[in-house]
Amino acid sequence: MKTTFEQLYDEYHKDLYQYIFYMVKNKEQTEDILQDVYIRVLKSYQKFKGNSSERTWLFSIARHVTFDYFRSLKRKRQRIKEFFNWGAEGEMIKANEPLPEEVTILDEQMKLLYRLLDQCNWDQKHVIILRYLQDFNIKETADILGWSISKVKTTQHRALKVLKALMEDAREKEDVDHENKSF
Amino acid sequence: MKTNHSNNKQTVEDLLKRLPKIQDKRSKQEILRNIEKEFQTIDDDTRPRKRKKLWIPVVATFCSIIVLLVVARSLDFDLIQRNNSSMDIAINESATEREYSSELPENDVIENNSVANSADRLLTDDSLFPFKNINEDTFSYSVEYIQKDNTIYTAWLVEDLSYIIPISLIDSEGLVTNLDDYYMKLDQFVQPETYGLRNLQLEKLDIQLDSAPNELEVIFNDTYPVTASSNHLQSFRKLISYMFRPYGYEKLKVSGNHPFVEKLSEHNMLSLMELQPVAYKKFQSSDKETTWLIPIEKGHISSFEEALTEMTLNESANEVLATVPNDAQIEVETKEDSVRAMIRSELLGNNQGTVTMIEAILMTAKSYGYDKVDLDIGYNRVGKYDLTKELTVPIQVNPIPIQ
Repeated sequence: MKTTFEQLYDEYHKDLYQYIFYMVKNKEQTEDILQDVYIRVLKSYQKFKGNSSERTWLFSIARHVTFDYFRSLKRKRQRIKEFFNWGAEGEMIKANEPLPEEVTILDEQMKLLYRLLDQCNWDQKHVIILRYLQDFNIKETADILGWSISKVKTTQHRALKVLKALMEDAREKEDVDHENKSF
Repeated sequence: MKTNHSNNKQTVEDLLKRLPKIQDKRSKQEILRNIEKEFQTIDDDTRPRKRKKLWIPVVATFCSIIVLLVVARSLDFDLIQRNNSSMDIAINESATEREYSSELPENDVIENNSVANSADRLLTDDSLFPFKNINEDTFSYSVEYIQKDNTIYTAWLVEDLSYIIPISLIDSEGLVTNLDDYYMKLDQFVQPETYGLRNLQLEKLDIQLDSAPNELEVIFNDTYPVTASSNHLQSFRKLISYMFRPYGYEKLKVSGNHPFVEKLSEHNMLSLMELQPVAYKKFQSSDKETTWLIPIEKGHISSFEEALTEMTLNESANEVLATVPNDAQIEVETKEDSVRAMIRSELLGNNQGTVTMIEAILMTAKSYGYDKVDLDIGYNRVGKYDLTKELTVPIQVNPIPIQ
């Protein structure tokens, strides 16, 4: 197991960490999820048939583990929300995670984009992260997500459209705020 | 010269590629130690327990026998024997062997199950009527696997009940150019009165998809005929959630001059309900000829296995019936992204009831997030389903092709 783990770690750890982190935006959760991913991979590594590339297979497992984790987290939050009867306010609550160091040193535009990623829905985030942060091509992305190629293209197109519109809105708001302050 | 539009889109793509790599501060050895610890925990949980001293189980067994003898004396033996003889169904414990062959004689349609006594009693249950034949020739299917882009998702209320039936309109010809138009003429594709369905007359609303990025908007005009009662408000939210969540919408903007707007939303925005894991049963329409798969939410169900057990029960509403025979023995094993379900019942066969059961199980598994189901029901093939392989969960439920 140790040898297999070391091989997988050396080749894929950074990419897997990156993928999961951008999906959940929390380092502790990322570490927990990634540990689960390794465990599942190590348990079933001998059964990997090679129908897809190893990298695609690993990311597919990471996607499922992240989804399960996120779903169980949402259920817990929903129960807490219902218990406290937060209603609409509860739905607005998002975990305000501090920015990681690597993001704090970026310019304002990049920080904005980092935050706006959370405005995309789950599917859109998947495509954006796999395509632009992990450099998977459309076919590989479709294989990981279990989608058709046309769905990947459509979702990517919509995700970019959403991000573009959100960034423009944010810029306009900033301009208005700036004008108001100058008065 | 590039347009401003393409410049902005290009900029976003460039920025995305420049998002930083986030580092994992832990060392390889630390991660490996955690994983080894986790494997050790798993091993400890599965290791056989140490043998206790022999005299303990011997004494415990002896005491149990004494207790059973005492209890048995107080029971009505006749009652036990009557019940046992009518429910005497042998269960095959093997999880790997497929005992039954699907190679039944083609023209040999057997009218009734040969297990006379037990089947007769079970067949008084409407939900089990579709299981009456062992081998049939033609089937009705309630799910589809057509490319998702050609799907228009709709949802309908069951008349006088609080259930929702999702129906997928399939546009195989690729005629769908503007989804908005379809939602304004829903009643042309589904004849709700025939099936005892209603949809709060959504076709009288102005529904706009992507009026702003990722935004769904519904505009109520003051002639919208549905009253804003609490019942209608809740049903409306459920319908809209079932219809538009599959597209990825999470919020709805409502506007217009109607009491619905004020009562339904806060600041004109409404969050769509998340689609929860459900147990699929069947709804028999008022014309008695059409059966729809219907998702049933029950708060006490917390796992796929419990959902399958729930599917053996009829609802108190007469039209909503079980999809799994009520004598079924069920075992479930979950894997990474698939689930294995073993079901045994004397009523299973190459019949409509079993086809509907398979489809209900697939849709239930889908709601729990599984992509594939390995179904062992003692048959290699039922209808069009090859049960020697894992089945992929469907894309559409209750499909109706658009002509």
